[in-house]
Amino acid sequence: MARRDPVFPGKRRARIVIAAGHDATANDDEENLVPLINLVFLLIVFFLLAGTIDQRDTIPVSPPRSISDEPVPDRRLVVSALADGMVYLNGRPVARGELTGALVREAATHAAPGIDSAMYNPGGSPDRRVVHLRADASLSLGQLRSLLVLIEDAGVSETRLQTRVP
Amino acid sequence: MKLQRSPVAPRIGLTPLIDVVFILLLFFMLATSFQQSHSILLKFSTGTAPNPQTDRPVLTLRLTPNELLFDGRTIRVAQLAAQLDQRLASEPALTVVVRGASMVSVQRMVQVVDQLRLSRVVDYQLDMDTKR
Repeated sequence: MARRDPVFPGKRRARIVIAAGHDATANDDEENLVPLINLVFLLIVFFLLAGTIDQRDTIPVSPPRSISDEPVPDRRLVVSALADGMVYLNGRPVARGELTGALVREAATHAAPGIDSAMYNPGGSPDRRVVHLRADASLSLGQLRSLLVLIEDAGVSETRLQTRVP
Repeated sequence: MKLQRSPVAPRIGLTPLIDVVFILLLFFMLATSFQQSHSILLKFSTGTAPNPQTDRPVLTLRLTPNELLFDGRTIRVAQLAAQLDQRLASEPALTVVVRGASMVSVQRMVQVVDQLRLSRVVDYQLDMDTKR
């Protein structure tokens, strides 16, 4: 029979649940965290699989929007051209006058035996040399053309303009 | 003094694991980019003659920052695909030359190239108008 509360006789005395011990409460806490960790791991897997980590994207270029669906390879030789006239080769700033020489040197580095030459020469064919141009959408055609002349002087047979989805 | 061995094996706390996992999550959230990159081939005509194959019909589009001239008529860029489709019906082997003024933005040129893609024009060349 339940004991009556001496102050409030109409009420039952509250039952105090004593935890089985410190360990048990710690266990409960950690068990509550398991779904959270599962979720966080799933998020990590999502970001790992769905996204790409691309260091070159740190250069503030906004490429033109296009409906083109031709994919770009992961490893590629990239010339970035900013709206203010700065030119980068694979993320390193290059003076405009030195772009041709820098491209030739870069091509020589990547064509060396044992080093992945796919960057410059994806088909493996010696006469197909591809450079990807990440040009800002606000550049003028004249600026693009003069840059293209410098790139073609390095023996590049194909220059592809990088675009982004609209 | 006698050391008492606890009957319960020591537990490894989950908290440091969660810390590391959150740091990993933060890293991937900040370092990952979802912007998909595609590309178009830049085919600029090289010599003075825009088309060496003289037996094929050539259509030259003139592009300025403000207008697009198709057969001497000003049209909007969005109308280009429809106009080209009509032309391609009668001349399937058409070569299109986009002659842009040097002040035309890259974005505007890409818009025109997109229209060429929509009409499935395979043979096109870009050209820069040096006079303007």
